[in-house]
Amino acid sequence: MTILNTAYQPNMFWDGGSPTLETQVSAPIEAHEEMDFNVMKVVERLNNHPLYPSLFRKAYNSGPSAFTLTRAIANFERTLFTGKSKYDAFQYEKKSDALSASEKRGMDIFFGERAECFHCHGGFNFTDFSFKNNGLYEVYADSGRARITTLHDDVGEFKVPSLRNVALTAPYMHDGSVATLEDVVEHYNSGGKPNFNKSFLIRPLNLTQQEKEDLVNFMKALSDQ
Amino acid sequence: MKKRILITLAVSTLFFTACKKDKDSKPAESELSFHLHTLVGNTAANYTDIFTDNTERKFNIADCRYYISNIVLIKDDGTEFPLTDKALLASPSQKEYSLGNVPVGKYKGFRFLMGLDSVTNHDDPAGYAASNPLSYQNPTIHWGWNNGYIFMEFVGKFDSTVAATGNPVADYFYHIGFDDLKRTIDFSNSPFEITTDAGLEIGILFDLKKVLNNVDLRTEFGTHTMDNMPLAVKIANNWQGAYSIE
Ligand code: HEC
Repeated sequence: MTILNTAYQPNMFWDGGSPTLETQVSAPIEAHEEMDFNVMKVVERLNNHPLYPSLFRKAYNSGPSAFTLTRAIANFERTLFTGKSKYDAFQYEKKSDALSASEKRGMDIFFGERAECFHCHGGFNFTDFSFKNNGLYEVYADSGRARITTLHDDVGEFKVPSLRNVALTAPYMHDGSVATLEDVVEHYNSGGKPNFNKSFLIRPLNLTQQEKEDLVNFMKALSDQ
Repeated sequence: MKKRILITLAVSTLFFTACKKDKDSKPAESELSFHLHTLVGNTAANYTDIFTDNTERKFNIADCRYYISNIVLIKDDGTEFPLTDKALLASPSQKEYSLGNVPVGKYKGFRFLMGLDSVTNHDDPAGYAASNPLSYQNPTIHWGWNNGYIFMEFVGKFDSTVAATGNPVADYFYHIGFDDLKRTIDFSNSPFEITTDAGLEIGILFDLKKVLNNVDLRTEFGTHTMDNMPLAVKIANNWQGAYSIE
């Protein structure tokens, strides 16, 4: 999942476990499979750094601390915007030739009632920020949203990811188990695996080879240029 | 020049005395603190010692810290005096926990939470001063993945031999957190009195042996709460019984 346009996210992570960009900072610092470190140790390192203490004081009138560290990273993340794709040129700058014929057909499939993609991947970030089960597995190793809520009804539900720059962020899904956009489309075309929590929108689509290619081409047109 | 300073001093002394007088007209207060012993049975839970659990199995302790919060004093007439914004991070190495000044008088008892209420639990730890127990700690006692605190961290080594004849070399780890696992520790029938002449210390015992009640270290050696909720619930349910008044 991209961190671009992350300022719009109402909560962080695939399971929505962290409420803000500020609180999110500690998770990758602490996670054993990520930095396996500690917020206060990062603060200590920054305080011993030749440059950072003065930079922090310039920005926050106080040196590195858990507070200023988390604010600095979160505010940096808020500056990461995207909105310069071929699709944006077509949709918002009204350049009708910005998309190829195949990309336009793919767009119609994406926003059409047959493939239903837009119901979840809607809006200018291509997500409604809800938690859904898209039928990736019959039994999920990661319980997803339920890890936060403990509700059975949330098992295997993950945050609908933004599709901006999606061609640049393979592999796909919360566990990176789907290698390519072509494979993603195959997944949706098949209707996914049976799962008690699967959204009713996920069902066999019967797309032709051409339609599958068009859909992939449309998603590739969401990359910033 | 010197005189002028003296005069200013005199005036400001007057001013402060006036202020103090003002304060004195409020109900009298005295300092209350918890004198909290973290024990295994009858012995202090030192990290350098080896203990035995309820089945005579050896274990030691590498880290034991737990949050106490939402302390409420119950006055003799039944009205409640909550100590707001006060959370303690208790551990065996510390016994004195000041609770600040409270009104003098007779009290029926008190209660507190083992763990944190759901609002405090999901606040931003970076928002607290470094001296506050709710700020980020090293080693951490907070989860980033759900932005919530670990209510009790209790880890070390135990003897994993079937016959319990070996040494504590295998890891056990209890990271107990989650809104639903906070427990009210009720001492509402433990009367005390706070007088003006001296502060009061309430002696409290917390027995880790009782925290391990019905926990079989060999099969129930670890939980990060979400990966073994039944064990986390079992341990949280042992908290109330592990507390007593000294
Ligand atoms: C019911 C809501 C829903 C619908 C409809 C839906 N998706 Fe998704 N989509 C999701 C969720 C939820 C995930 C993440 C699932 C996971 O990680 O387990 C996802 C993941 C993806 C990803 C992977 C993105 C990444 O960064 O890993 C792509 C690409 C994608 N969807 C494209 C589509 C397309 C194309 C369609 C239409 C054919 C579609 N989706 C229809 C909910 C939906």
